[in-house]
Amino acid sequence: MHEFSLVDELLRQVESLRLAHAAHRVVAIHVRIGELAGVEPELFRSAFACLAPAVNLDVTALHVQEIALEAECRACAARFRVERFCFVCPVCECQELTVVQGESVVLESVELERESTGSPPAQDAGRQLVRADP
Amino acid sequence: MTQQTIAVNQDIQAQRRAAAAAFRARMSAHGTLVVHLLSSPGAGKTALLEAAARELGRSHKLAVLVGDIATDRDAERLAPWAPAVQITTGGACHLELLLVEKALEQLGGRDLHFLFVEDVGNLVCPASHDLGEHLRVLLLSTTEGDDKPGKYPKAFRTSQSLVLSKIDLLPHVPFSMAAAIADARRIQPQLAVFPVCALDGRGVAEWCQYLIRQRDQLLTLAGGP
Repeated sequence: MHEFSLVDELLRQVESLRLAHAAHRVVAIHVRIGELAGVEPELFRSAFACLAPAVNLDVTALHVQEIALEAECRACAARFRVERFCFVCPVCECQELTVVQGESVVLESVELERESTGSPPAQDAGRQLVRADP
Repeated sequence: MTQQTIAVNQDIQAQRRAAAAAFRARMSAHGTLVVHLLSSPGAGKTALLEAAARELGRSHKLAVLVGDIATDRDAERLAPWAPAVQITTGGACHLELLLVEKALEQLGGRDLHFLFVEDVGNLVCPASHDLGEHLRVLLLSTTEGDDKPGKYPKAFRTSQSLVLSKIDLLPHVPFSMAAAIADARRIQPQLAVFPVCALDGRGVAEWCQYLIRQRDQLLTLAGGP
């Protein structure tokens, strides 16, 4: 269940972004979860649903895109989907591969909302999402 | 109200990875090879470390940080052979770098040749956490079945060394070493494989020699002592 600690890390980063951009609310968080990230997307979502209310985030703010594992062959340059975690080039059977996607959890983007252009962020709103480090 | 989309496109573990890389660099500078052990519960991590500590301890300084959910039994077992600090995770299923750094502080200033970090018995979560190790070693015991690699690809993909433990039980269990090694190498072709029996010592010296070579390489790269 390390999904909880990853979501905790995600929320910390999102909060830093919100403060850095003087926004009062986080509308959406877009995350890509790779097939070999070692993260179960459903558990990631449920960890988010569990932790988000504590930082005044709507549980519907999280958008997860699952990313297939793909690699490129260093010998023949073929790019292919790694099926059943078999790291062998289907073209030349070489095992010298570079994984090009699907190994990590990536924070793709964050949608933020500001009260109005040019005005400073409300201090109270600024505090709403501040979380103490565990 | 105005809305703004901030593009980030960054691995959410990037900061942790950077912290792990910094820890690794510090340990390299001290000439300490950090070895992270992963396995299912009961595969024999502590038994392997007891055997390795007896072997390596004659010529090298080593210490063990051992993760467990609830008890300090593993540290007690290791204490006769090497300084050991138990990291009790209180229910957490894996170790994190912060816990390792705190436990290392408890050990005090020691010029170690090897620091072993035994993770909580689990082949899922620990695989996703870089503890600042130079070497990740995965133990697979003959009692677990030779089809484990394909079931836990992340753990095998991120390891450099595979120890096949409890080989004394091979005559009694339906475990094919060849099948297990082939399955593991489909996931990670570079795996260095060591069949070991920690109880009678078979394979332990070979694994320790491998660790010494890995440390020699580290020292060469670091231009160190």
